[in-house]
Amino acid sequence: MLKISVEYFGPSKQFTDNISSEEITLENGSLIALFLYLHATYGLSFVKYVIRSCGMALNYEYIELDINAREIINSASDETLSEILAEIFQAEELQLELKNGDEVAIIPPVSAG
Amino acid sequence: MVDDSIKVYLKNEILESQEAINFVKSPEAGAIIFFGGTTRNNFESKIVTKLSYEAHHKLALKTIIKIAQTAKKNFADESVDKKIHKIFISHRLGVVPVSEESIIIALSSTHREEGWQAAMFILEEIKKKAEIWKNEIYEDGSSSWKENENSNVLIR
Repeated sequence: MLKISVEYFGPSKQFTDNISSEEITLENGSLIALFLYLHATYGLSFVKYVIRSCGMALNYEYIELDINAREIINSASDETLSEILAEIFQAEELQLELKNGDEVAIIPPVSAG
Repeated sequence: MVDDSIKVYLKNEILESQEAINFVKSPEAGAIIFFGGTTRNNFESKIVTKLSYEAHHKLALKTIIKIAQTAKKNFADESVDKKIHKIFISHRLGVVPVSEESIIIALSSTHREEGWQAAMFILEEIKKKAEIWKNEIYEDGSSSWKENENSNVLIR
């Protein structure tokens, strides 16, 4: 078990009932565990929105998702999500291990200026 | 303040255009370019009463500083005496009433051409990449998060 914090910005808060940050407990430190939490808490449409449209930063560094992930996630249903997450996060560079105290930020499309 | 030639701010108060212009003045520069992006009072026939901005401070500052540094590099050419001397960028956060600036960009350059080009580059890059979000608040009390057409958070 580990505790991390997740921050939500701008339009992504439309999915989180305006919550802008929270501390969450995960069973393990994989990105899959994080997305399963987001699914259980905010639903499939939020998981799809994050993978399709958002950037994600871990401790202020961006995590690069394979461009195919943005296609693959479209076909996910509540039942098939964990398989599809496994497929998306099998890439070696995404096998990172979240640690206690890590900070994840969800970065939606921007509207600066 | 990044170095002597670049200043970047995110702030909740009115943006001071004179401060920006004073900072970028330089004896070797023949041009000062200034851009102010202001809150418009309409969007697709809806009356906008105010805008509200929020940022991921740390990432947004990092992104804007990098854009300023890239502009200094890209628009300099020693062989033809082109140079961007100083850059000042300030983006406002929180509520911005109609006709006030949400962003100001000022820079000084040896000649006008590289100055105009650098200023356009900086604004377009900020609209594409800076981790800042705009919420439009309308006359009827409704509101909507905006997304820039050229936003790109997926490729860095």
